[in-house]
Amino acid sequence: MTEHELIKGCIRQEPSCQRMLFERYAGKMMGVAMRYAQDNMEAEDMLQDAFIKVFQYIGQFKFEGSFEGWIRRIVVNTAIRHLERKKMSFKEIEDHSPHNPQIDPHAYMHLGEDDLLKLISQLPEGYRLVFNLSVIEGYSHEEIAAMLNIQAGTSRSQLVKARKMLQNQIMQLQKIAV
Amino acid sequence: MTNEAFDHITREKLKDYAAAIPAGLWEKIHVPAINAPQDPFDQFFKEKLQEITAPVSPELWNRIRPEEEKRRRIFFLPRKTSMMAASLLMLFIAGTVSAYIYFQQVRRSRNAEINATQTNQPNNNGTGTAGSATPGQNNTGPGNSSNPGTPAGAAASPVTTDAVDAGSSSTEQFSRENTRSSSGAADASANTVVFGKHRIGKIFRQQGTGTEASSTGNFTDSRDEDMFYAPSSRSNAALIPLQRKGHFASGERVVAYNNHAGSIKNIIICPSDKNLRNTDWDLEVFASPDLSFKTVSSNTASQQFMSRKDSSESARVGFTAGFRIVKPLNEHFLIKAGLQYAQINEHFTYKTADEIKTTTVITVRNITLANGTVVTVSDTSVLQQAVNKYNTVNNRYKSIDVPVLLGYQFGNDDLKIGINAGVVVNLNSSYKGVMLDSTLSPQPIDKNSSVGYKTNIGVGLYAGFNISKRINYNTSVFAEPYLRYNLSDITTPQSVYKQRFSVGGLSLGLRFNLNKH
Repeated sequence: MTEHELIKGCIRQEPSCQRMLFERYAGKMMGVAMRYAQDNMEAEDMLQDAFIKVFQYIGQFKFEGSFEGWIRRIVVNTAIRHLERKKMSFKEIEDHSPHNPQIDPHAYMHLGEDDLLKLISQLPEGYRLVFNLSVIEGYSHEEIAAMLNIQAGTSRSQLVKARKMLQNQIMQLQKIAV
Repeated sequence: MTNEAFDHITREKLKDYAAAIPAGLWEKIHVPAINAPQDPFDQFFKEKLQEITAPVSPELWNRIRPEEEKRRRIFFLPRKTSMMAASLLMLFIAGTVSAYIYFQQVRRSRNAEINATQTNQPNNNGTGTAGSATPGQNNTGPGNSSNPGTPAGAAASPVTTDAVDAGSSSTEQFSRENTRSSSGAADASANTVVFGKHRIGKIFRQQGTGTEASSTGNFTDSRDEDMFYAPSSRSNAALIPLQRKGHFASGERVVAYNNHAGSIKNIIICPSDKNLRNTDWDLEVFASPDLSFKTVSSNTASQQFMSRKDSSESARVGFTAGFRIVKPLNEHFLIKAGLQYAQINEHFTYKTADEIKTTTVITVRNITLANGTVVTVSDTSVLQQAVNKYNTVNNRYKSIDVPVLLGYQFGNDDLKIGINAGVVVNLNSSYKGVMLDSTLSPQPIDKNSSVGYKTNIGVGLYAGFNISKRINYNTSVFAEPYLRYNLSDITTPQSVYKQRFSVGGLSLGLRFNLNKH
């Protein structure tokens, strides 16, 4: 079944199409949700809410652009709303570690997806959110600022600090490994 | 120094002063060009994670699948109406089967009576060697029916005529008459009688040394005592005694003699011990692991609330335990009533935010100094994060009930199969655990909750299939898969949602006969 037929079936609320759509995209969207969540349970909550919205609003999909991108945006928006409900803050965290650690690419090139997800999940929520939106999803700071109702400068600052914290964590892992 | 001179020096010193720029300030404020090459570190994360897929819990689809599919899966997740329909169907089937078996039995005994009456009339058409029976010989006894033409001396040879006996008293009488008719009791044999397709009982045949004529004459005498006969389906006997009016109440008193057929010298009554066992009262003690099926619908609750509630709660195995007094109404029908305790278990999972998670990292390194000394250095760093904590609470829905059931059972003394159906009347219900309030926060279930729970959920329907095996003289073990459908919600009408439980389980227990000798 083509993607177009699948979407049409879901618009007609055919259970088999809805199930097929879920099975086709759930794994990838779970990967998205896991980057925003702190653990699997939270990611499943996000994904659950997101797919409910997908089935609810699929009639509004105009067949313009990527359908996967459309679902992805719903998942990301749902994750943001989810984190907002937790009264997420974008506080600057004081740290006295040297700025811009010079990290050798060899220090992180061997890291796998699970390692990276774990590192990201350990970031404070504001850092994690901005890092995901900016680095992975490719939103600009202005777009992030609008989405999160913050200043663009705050977004930039959070991204820098998130990156720095990740690099510090990678260096810590290296030390432990040594 | 004049004021003008001080100002001049200060101005000269600071005019071209440039302070050090805080590290990282540019990264915080600059806007990279759209086509600027991405940081390799960022690029690495993006490549690794952008297309990542993760395994999804198989349960997730059940939590998000649209209502339409839930409705279509009515069989697997019964809803209110289907549960009601299923219960009524089971009751209907139980009633129909019971009625069918009962009326079949009545009709069978009536037919037997009619057949016997017809057999007793002149000119009836017997089967087998019935042609040898003249109208005046309709009541030919077994001694005659085996072989009317057999000489008196030949009667001593084994004869395997089938016949019917329906009761011990009749057998005794028949035996007495037969003995009287024969010149001397020599041997007795018994064989199963087949009447139509139904195995009815046995007849004992006295093989005497008397003549055929005398034997026949004596059995003819027995007609005066209303001995009835029916055609034998497999013997060469023309007619077999079926029932003795006034002495044989019904097929209930059929006597089985298979195990004794070869050894009995005289007519020995070996009745079923169900006549010895007093079946007036039985006691059933049982326990059952249960699985609950929940139907929830919204009164005033939001969709988000219902969705969160659904994802927060998951069914766990509950149990039912109790006892029932059993009063047999007759051989097949019985009535049961007792007391039982039932508990439905459910896991409720909720998050508490801003829990402090402390991670301690200890890094141990060995450093070799220039003089060759190895020094062990350990660094300890502590990372504290605000995280969500997941809590799981076991919600318990308890009830004390009185089951009142009507049962139908069939089988033999050792193995019985039956159906039970009836009502379960709730005496009291109580609940313990945690639920969501209107702000999606967990709160204990109590009287002040936004959702009120009833302390009495009224009446439920019960249907079960019972199989029991006797393990000693007065004790049986039984298993009973059952379904209980509650007719009422456990929530009050003012609650933001409606919730109702139905329960399926497997009762395992013992049945004791209370009137043992």
